[in-house]
Amino acid sequence: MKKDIKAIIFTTLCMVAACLFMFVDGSTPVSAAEESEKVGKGCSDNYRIYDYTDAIDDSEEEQLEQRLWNISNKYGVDVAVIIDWERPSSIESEYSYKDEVWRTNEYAHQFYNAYEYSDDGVIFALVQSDRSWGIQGFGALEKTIGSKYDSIFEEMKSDLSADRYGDAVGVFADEMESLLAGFKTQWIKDLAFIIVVSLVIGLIIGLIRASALKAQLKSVAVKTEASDYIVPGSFNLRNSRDFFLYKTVSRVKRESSSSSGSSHSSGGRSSSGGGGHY
Amino acid sequence: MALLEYKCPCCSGAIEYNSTVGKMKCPYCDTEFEMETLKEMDEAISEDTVNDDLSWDTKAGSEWSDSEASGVVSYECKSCGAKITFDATTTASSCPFCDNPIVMTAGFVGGLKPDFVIPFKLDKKAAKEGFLKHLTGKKLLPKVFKDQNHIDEIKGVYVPFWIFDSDADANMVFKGTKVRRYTSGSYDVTETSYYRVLRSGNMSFANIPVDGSEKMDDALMDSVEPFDVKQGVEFQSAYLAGYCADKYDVSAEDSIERANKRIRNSTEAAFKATAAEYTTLTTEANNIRLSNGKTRYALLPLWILNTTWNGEKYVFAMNGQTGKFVGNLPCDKGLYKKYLFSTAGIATVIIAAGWYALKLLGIL
Repeated sequence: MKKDIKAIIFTTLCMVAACLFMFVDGSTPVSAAEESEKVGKGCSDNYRIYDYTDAIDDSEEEQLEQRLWNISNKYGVDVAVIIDWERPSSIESEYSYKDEVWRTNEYAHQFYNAYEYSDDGVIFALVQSDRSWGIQGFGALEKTIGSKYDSIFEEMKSDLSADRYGDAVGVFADEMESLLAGFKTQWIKDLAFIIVVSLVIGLIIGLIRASALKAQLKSVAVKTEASDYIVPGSFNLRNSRDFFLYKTVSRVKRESSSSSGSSHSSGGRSSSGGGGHY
Repeated sequence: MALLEYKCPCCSGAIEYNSTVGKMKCPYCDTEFEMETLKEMDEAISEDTVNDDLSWDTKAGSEWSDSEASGVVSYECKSCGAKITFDATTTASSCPFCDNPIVMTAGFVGGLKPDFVIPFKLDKKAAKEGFLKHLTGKKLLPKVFKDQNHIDEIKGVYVPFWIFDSDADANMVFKGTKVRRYTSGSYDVTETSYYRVLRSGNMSFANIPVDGSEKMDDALMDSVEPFDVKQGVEFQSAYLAGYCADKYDVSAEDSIERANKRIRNSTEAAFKATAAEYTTLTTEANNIRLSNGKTRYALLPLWILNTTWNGEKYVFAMNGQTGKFVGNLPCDKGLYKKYLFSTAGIATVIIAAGWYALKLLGIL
């Protein structure tokens, strides 16, 4: 019996591995891991920071520009920042039916396209007039930014609330560096998580099935009621009265997110991300 | 002059009139009540209040006549103490309850004559088929148990039962809640309304069987129910031919508690069903008064099989009237683990592969 169980476990693990690798094609991080350290296909020669409001002083901006350039160059992606007073009027009129956050994200998307940044990258946009922000990811970073924009912003929140724009962009650079450095190993973490959770769910399913089979062996139980022996039609409800006593009301504040996700596509490229207010 | 005191329905503290709010208010839990509601509720409860009366007429069975007594013989099992009755022409070698050899006692041992008997409708062949059917489809049943079954040792036994009939008059007090959930602005609001729910009425129970045999497992006897008592006929010793009958060793008086418990639970359930609109319903008072209670002594047909496996005793029973077969079976621990891990393994592969595929496709 022990041999049977070992064989089952071994077969299971082999099947898990085989199935998982069946889904892995050439474009996945498996093959990427065997290549260079780069995440994207390369970055453009454009500036990394466009600060139209002088929110960051020049010397700090120069340092941040260099830092974002280094990150972009190292990982083969464009990491850009745009800080503006307001969104272009074309976006405001065309998308007046959308909310401010969506329009800021659209601004980020259009800006990235207009400045012909590379296929893979990320842009962080700040609009000071309504204190809205947006992060959009492109190409290899589209999916990752689409799911992580909120946690990236969470790190910058305190600096932005205090109008320390230079520090906030510095934190953005830190976050992007750490995200890109872990990009190649992220799939391993994802896979490990999937296997562990699947194993737990699988064990619960196994336990339910085995318990159901075991329950088939039990057919003896004490009867605690006599509903089979009530004379049909004999039930007579003589009195039925209900008295309202009192009422309790509890209110729980709903958790509301200060940000919302959005996808954009124009200029032949699509991007995902999200934004909010700071 | 009588002093009126109201108890708080929430915490049972003494409620006082609060002149500030113009209502009755509990000083302990701060709940407020309308005076009229409390008064009306108090009157309704006192109108309906009755004490429990769960007494029965336990005159069941009758005395044996001389001619009837001469037609039956009794055996006593020295191992389990069973007093087994046969017709005079039947001989027996082993006890149907414990499978040990039995010894014939001197003549008829007395006791009450049953009011009625339900004759066997299914024979030994049907009982064997029932047992084999009971074993099939049980994936965790040890194979050795199946191979070594003692199918030929199935015995037909008339088991003594007390049959209870009664009318039940009940007054019930429940505490009911109705929960309403909604959203108001940025809040999730849960509104719980509390009610005192009063119900009273009556219903009749007929033919509740309670076995009168100490040796028979109560759960096993409950599990072979139901019996169609309408098919019962007047007892004659001829019905014992080829079978044996156990003599009761639990009196009707001692069986009342089990019948009462079942009546109480079913009565409560029937009244609760009339208040289905409540989210929760808790019983606060449950007063039942029985009337026209009647007890009868009956012999009901069962096919019994005793077997021992791995040092543990297993008893199986088949209703000799309906064919319902019951009896717990042993579990093969190795097979249990095998099914547990193989199902877990397959489920893990399917979930993991499906999940990862959806992730790669960007759906998750």
